[in-house]
Amino acid sequence: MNITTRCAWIGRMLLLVFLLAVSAGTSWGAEKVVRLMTTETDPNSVAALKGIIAEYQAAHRDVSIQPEFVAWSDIYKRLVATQAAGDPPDLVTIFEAQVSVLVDQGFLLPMNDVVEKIGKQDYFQNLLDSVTYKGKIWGVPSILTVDVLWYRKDLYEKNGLKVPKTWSELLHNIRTLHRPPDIYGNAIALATGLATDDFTVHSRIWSNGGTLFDKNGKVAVETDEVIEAMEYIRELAKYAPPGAASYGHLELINAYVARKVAHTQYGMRILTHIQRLAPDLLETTGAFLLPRGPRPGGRQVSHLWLKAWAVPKNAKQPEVAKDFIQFLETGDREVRWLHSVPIHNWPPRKSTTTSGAFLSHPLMKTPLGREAVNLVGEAISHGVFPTLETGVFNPKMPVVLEARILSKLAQRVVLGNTPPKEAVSLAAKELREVVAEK
Amino acid sequence: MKRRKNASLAFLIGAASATVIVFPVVWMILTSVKPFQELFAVPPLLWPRRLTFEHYRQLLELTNFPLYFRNSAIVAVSTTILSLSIASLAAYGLTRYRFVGQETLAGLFLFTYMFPPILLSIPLFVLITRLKMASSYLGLIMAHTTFALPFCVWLLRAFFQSIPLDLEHAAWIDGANRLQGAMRIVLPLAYPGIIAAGIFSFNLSWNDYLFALILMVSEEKKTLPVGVSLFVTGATVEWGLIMAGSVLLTLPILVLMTFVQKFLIQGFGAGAVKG
Amino acid sequence: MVPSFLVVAGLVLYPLLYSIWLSFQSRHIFSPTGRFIGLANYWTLLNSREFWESFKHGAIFSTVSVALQVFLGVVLALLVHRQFWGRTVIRGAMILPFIIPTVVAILVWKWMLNDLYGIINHWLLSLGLFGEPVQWLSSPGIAMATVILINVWLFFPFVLITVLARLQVIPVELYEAARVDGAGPLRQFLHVTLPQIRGVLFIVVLVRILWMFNKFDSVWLVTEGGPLGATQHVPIFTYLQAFGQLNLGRGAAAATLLFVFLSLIMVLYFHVFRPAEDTL
Repeated sequence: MNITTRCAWIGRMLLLVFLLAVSAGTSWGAEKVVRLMTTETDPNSVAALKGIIAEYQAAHRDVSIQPEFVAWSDIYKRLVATQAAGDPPDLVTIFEAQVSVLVDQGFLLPMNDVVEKIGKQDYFQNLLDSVTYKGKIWGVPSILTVDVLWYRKDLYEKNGLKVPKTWSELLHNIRTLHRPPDIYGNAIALATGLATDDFTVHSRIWSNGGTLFDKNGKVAVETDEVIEAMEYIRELAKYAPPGAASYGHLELINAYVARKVAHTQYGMRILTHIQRLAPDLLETTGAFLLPRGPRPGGRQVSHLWLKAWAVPKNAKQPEVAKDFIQFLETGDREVRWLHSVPIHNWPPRKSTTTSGAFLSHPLMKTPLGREAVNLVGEAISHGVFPTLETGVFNPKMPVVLEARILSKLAQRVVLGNTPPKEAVSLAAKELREVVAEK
Repeated sequence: MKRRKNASLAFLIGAASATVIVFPVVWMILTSVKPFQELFAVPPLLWPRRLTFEHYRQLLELTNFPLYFRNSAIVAVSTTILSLSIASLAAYGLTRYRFVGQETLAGLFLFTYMFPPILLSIPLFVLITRLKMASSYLGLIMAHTTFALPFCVWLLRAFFQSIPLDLEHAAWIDGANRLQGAMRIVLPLAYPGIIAAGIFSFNLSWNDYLFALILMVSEEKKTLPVGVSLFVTGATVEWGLIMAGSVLLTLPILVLMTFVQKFLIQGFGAGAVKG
Repeated sequence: MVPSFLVVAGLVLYPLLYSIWLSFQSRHIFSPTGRFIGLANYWTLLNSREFWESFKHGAIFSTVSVALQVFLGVVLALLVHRQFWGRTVIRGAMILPFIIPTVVAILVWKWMLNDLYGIINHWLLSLGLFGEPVQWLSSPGIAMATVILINVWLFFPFVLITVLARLQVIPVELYEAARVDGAGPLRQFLHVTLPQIRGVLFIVVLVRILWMFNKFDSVWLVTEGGPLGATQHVPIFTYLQAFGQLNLGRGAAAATLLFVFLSLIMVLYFHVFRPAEDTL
């Protein structure tokens, strides 16, 4: 092929590409296009959502719902980009911890009407409180997750241990089962990241009766409750695998599945992983709530996490979006949506939690499944949302969490050998800085 | 004799280095055919005890993998063609003409690499949305070309510079015009450089995550890296799907590279510089 | 040629200038407008210990990575330039790290380096080289080395491909002449090869330095800047400011400071390593 022919080919290819690109800009021809952005990227969740969308579209022929699945860690980037371009999606999954930030920027529409239509009384009150800000409800609760401690029942039996209710009981059990290098006492997350912030540090502070802020929004972290919690974390870290400083969500699951730790902390999602990666562990695994600390305010806790549907203010089809949420979050559709990650995805409404349809998932019928289901109920009653740690909504919490101050605190104590009291003072200073600016 | 010994030595060192370098990829391939239960066995298993193609099946059936593949291919091929065309012209201009501010212009090109892409991506997205090109192949192609171009220009420039002008002069004397002279003399001699620049552009586009994430909003236009990353949420990794997806993602490029390498050797043979 | 330049220039200049403009504002990341505050962001950054720490980490990371990438790339390019059996396969193998998507490559590396179920520690322990699993990612000291190692693995093929291409157009006669003059392999390399690949090395080293200073995901995905901030460099700092602290203005300022620094580096680089004159 000589040069001129080659050039002609290049020219043709460019033309083809151009045409393709232009044609790619055409829309679907439906009257109303609703763009939905969600972080539920589990293939089962994707399939469930697409099925529900198909049903809705069949009943509403003039609507086309286009779902977009975004990885959890990328959702902020996407939202910022679409907001900057003035073209946000019509529906987006938000976490309860993001509400105050988004509302302060005028990004969302209130969702009171949808909640009323579905039945406000039916929702767990603390869930609604977590998405209530400035007197309005900003998200329709969709999926609730809790976290608990998972343990090796067989090892407990072999060593005559009982399920711990206090910190010292748990530490005793961990020490007894710590037999490196065959098995380590517990897996603990210490990498810079949300797992460390939420699971390791925040939950343990709460379990000793401490909080980061007081009811007036002032930094209240320099207390004995918190200092003791950091000392406790330092102890726990001694009985963790050597690489714990690099552990995040993933390693908490994998360490347990690899049978190298006797305890780990996670949500119910670990069940599906155990089922797939090490099914024999299903019979020898149990779970319990985080035990309480020694202080008078100490209590058993669970870290709660809520995903809710929100509609951005500049959405093009807010009414259709709201109608779709109502469709999705009721009846058989809701059950299918929740069942896509069984037991981990917990319903936000009381009637669903007791409904036969919801409780009929096969995983829930297994012994461990049943135990887990019961535990979730307990976890919710002992559960704490970061924004509601004092009972009063704290709008500064999102920024605090994103600044990873708690991860740094844990790392300073465990890796940097900083005395807990000093590390906590440093954290207090950082908290004050972060809060002062926003 | 000495040549044979040198060749064997080269082979040994080459094979040893290659094995070490390639090991993570081997791990990836082996994992993609391991059943779930063997993934986190302790002590870790290198070879699967049981082979399974379950992950590949799931990947192709349950996800939009073929669609992502098509999108990535369209964008990457177009980016490569576009970058190479523009870069060749630019490099030729910079080496065969002299004009004021030449060096500065070439240097300015490199500004693209001096800013973190994450911050550039948002205003770029705004710009592209205003031009109504969001989620269009053209928008992403242009973004990728923008990032591939500076390096391609500089690389081709380095190659073109080493080709003496006398050869082109000879062609001009023979009656060829500027363009034909360039095509017949310069391009063949710079072929390896063009191939290298092509590989670079293709790879930049094929593996780009950030711009594909920000600029391609709609589901049907997603490219492979974004699609594969969906199997990694903050808390879960669909190991099987990811490994299988990555193998299928990498395989075509490997085939392409091998094919291109043969071409490289041929090209060199065809346009060898002789005196 | 000129119109395409303009399009490309527009696509780069507009975001660049826009970001610089942002750096003079106090602006929340979700907000469409910001408040002009002049140099306040810059002042805060220049007085921030964390910023300078990030900068230091970035400098170490970039220089060491690039040095190793170039060394490895050049040496291996020279190796696979020779004729030997199996050359094509080995060449293909060596560029694999470059063509694997970064996300996956890092996942695989983290898996292999894990202390409990990672194969690398398993082998090191079995060979008796270490008594305990190596803290690849959990020790602040070693983490930076691990990040550098992974980045060298990911990007040395870039150097290899470009240098190899250049090697292939070096006229064979030059080597013959040198051999006739009695030069051994080392002299041949220094007097024939090196001057020939100089032009390509110039641009490769420059681009790699610029890229490594600005590379985000190949560090973030490994450690998110930890442990204890040991691997936090400027792009991560920028990201945490903009998307973590939601302070877009300050993130843009950090990026601009890096930009200014890199421009200075580039000017210096050009002065010291002026490329070969244009042939005309």
